Amino acid sequence: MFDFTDSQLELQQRVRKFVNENIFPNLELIDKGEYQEELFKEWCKTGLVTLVAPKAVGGIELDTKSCAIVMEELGYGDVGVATGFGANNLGSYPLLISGTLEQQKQHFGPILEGKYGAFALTEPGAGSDAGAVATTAERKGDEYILNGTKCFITQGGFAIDMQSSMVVFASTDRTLGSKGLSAFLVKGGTPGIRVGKIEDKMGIRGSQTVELVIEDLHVPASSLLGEEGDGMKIAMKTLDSGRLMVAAQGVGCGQRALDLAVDYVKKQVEGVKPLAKQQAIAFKIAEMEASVEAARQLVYRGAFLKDNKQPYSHHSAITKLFATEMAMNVANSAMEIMGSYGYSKESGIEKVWRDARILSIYEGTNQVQRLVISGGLLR
Amino acid sequence: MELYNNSQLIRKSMADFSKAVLEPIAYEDDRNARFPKEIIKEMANKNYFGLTVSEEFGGNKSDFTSVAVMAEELAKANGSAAVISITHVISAAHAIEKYGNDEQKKAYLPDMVSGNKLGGYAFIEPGASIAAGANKVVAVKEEGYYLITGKKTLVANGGEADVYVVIAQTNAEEGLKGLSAFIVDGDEVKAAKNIDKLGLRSFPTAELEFNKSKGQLLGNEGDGLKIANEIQALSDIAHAAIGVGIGKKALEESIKHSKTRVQFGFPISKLQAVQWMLAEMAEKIHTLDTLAYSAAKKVDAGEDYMNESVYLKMFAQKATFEIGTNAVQIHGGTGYSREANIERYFRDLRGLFNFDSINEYPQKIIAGNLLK
Repeated sequence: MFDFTDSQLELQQRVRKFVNENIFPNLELIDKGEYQEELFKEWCKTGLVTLVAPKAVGGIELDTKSCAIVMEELGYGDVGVATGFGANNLGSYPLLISGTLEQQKQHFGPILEGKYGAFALTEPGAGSDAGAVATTAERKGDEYILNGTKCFITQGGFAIDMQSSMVVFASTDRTLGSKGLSAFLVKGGTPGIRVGKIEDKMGIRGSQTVELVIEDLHVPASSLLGEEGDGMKIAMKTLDSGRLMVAAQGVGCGQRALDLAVDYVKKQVEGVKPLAKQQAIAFKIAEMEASVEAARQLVYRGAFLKDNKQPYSHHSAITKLFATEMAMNVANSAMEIMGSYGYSKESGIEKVWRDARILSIYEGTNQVQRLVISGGLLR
Repeated sequence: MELYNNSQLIRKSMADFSKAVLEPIAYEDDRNARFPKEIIKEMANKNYFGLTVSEEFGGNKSDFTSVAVMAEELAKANGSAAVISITHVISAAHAIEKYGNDEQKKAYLPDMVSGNKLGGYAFIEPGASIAAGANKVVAVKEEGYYLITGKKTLVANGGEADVYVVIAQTNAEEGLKGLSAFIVDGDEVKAAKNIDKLGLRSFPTAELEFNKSKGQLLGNEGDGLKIANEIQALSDIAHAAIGVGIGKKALEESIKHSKTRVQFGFPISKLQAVQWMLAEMAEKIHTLDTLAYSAAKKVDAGEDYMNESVYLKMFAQKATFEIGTNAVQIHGGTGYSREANIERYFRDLRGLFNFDSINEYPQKIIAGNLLK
């Protein structure tokens, strides 16, 4: 279950090389929110612009385990960059779940050319309560007309500017609540959808997070994914897959924090005593590694379950909960070990700490994960 | 037990000032890591800078509880401003008031009370902790003064202060007992670089280079450790009060958000999970509040407060992180956006208790006492 094949090892090396050559030297720019387009161009050269496009439309159709490897390595480099690149996977799962071949071609075409896709579900009034989506889609002839506002949409502005493809959730019948939710394929650049506010965030500043304002957006009826009312099912299945990827980023992020702390501890000498010889520090390092490793095992077990077509929804909720809180706590421990230096920007851990904090909030807050997990046990 | 004495009277005036003057600049100054020079005079005009200075030298010396109240109230609007002030009134003014000779007090304190001179504090050194005896900043005696050479980092109010209290080695062979404290004028030192931080970003911290900088001995040779420990303990109590101030604001905003944020058809404050998070924040703030003000009361009673300050620090380091973490979580994505105050509170809270050495961990001190 945990052995990597030769091609998976090659994949891991390919992403590590990218991280070392393109992310680490540019972390300062990335944290300022700059360098995103240049970095994405370099990323496209790795052949990993989207990991999940089916072979039928020219994609590489990686299995979940390989996807997890890529996201772990990217998370090690920068969680913001991983989140941004990940939009091309998150935004594409709906097509794998409910897209026709025609729709898949339409969606993956621009992405495989080196563009960003996006996944637009969250709204100001619909976060953890995804069923409360207030964006409407009204059928008129052979079109739907969409109206509403989406928020916290990763790479949404890029998807519009690049005239790429995104999946937008809207209600086709608000009287049905979450059963009235539907998913639509929307081409970026279509009149009627524009970027509103661009979020200025504590961390993951290497990704773009935007509000999307939708006013009388006309989309052809053929843009509907699956049937009217399939939206909630598509969204939930997408997030089940997404959660494993968020957890994989968490593992990378935690590993990075651990490595920064270990490097610091090895170099630091207090008086005549190396910090590494201090048991309080050494044991903390041991606990950090134990929790990173435990989270990693959860991620790869989740990938195994999914790749072997076994139920994994419950497991992916557990994995997201554990791995993301691990990342936050390990980053905090690393900062503690590094003292005041850790609190300064030049330490490197400062950015990792800010980045780690998002993981237990997005793609289903950890409270939602607790609902899913306890719901499974207590029904 | 009334922990606050007469300080309730000044609390209101400080709260008003804080809201009117410090709150409007907090957001932009955090973003730009700008030192809010203009507020120094304004705080001085409010007599905040005389709280640790006797009347003889222009101050309005009050009890330490009032200093803690100031720290808390300023922090409710602006964590950086609170730390700038605490550095000034405790690490610099109090140290000079308590350990300086009359000449030194006359030369510095009136200007520090009036805000003409801002005080700073230089303790930490790059690479290793001074408390481990590895410090490299040395002071050599000359006619009438000392010449100080070496590098200090994370100097509080560094680069902006007009006068620094500096801990340096006068007798390397004696290790910690060979440490002494000095008063050094700002123009004697060079700020090598500003240190940009996660939070408390408009509180200036810098690396300072001392190159035969003239220093005046504060107290006697060998008093350095005693003075540094006192500054540390009093600052820890004040920082706990700052944590209380920021924590109360974070809780207030979390309560408000939870009552207005509707999900699943009702405000999220109806969810038990959210209620528990709020309760745990309140528990930690209340405990921190109690620890901070009972320690302050001990200071005021002239009792030994070292133990209190150490236990407080051990609790506060975890509590401040957890208060901030819960506040962000209750706010969800909004709490991660820089538009909301919450993420600034979280970053500021994280910086109140950093230990630069295993020797500074409260656990080390507590265990040392237990195993004596």
